[in-house]
Amino acid sequence: MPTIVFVSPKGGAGKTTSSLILADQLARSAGVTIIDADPNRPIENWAKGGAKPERLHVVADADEENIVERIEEAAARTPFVIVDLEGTASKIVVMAVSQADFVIVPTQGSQLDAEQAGRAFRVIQQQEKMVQRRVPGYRLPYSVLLTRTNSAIRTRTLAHIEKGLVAAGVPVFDTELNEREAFRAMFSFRQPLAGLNPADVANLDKAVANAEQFAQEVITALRKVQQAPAEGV
Amino acid sequence: MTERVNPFGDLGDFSAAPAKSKTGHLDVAEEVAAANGFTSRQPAKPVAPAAPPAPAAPVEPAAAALATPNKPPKEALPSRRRTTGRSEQVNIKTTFAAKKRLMEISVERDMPLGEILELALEALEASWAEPS
Repeated sequence: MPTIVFVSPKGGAGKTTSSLILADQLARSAGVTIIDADPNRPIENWAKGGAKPERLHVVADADEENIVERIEEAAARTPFVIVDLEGTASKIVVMAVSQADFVIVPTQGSQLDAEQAGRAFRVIQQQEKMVQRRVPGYRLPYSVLLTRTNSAIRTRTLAHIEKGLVAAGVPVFDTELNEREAFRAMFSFRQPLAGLNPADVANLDKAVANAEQFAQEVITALRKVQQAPAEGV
Repeated sequence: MTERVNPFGDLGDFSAAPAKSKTGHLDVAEEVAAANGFTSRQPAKPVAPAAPPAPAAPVEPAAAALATPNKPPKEALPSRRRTTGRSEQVNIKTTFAAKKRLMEISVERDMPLGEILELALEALEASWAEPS
């Protein structure tokens, strides 16, 4: 049932990578449909490698006209639906957000990324506020995912941005997605994380642990939403 | 790489179900998209067939290639403009806070500024008419 939408009006924030990491992890336990609504179809290209997990379904014909239909079809077919959108401020983004149970805003630790992420928060908050007028108690929970962070060094810019987000009351996942070769290798080898060879990819175990931790935190957040639909998270 | 034990356990509490219809949220999404400048990037489908090319002037092949009907239409900026019949301009100096409030009311209530001014004047006159 949960539809998780990845949003960032800025390209390169890590939407496709983080949505594929989450889909790949969830597909270890449950059926997942990933809707590739990026016109470049990066997930579809990844799936062409032939190593797509059996429980992971890829829908790659979504556009502004049919996105809502595609999400509804997918939600009826698999327990989890993940929507990866293009990195622009386009209407399809807001349409997908309107159908979401949870929105994830991947953001890199740069001022530019954080400013663009702010546009995403405004859209999410406004959507929630306006639907609440018709459906009292409606909540549209969201969280920021800091991406491509360095596992060893915490830059001052990142610390500043995270502090700013927390101060503004914006929820931020405890787990960050680190900059890992394995996350890039998923695309270059067109493999799920578990299909990569540790001989080819450095620190694969650390990438797997990072991906599992991220998926675990998302599952916990989704359970909270499911258990207390009126309160959200 | 051999896969390790699944760390997520049973996710059976998440089941595929006919999604709660959120179609009602869509018109809200339209407004939110317009208000935040999230414009449509979908190339508009040709509604009517393009007008037949005028055969009068012979066109050079290069120029003809440039004028193909597949050329994407110019992207339109989001517009809150609407036709209301109100055609008088009022240019008012005010404070930032008052202007912000006016704009917020306009966005939240989806009302043209002219309508807000008229309603505000009516409310003001009504309050004056009330016996104190």
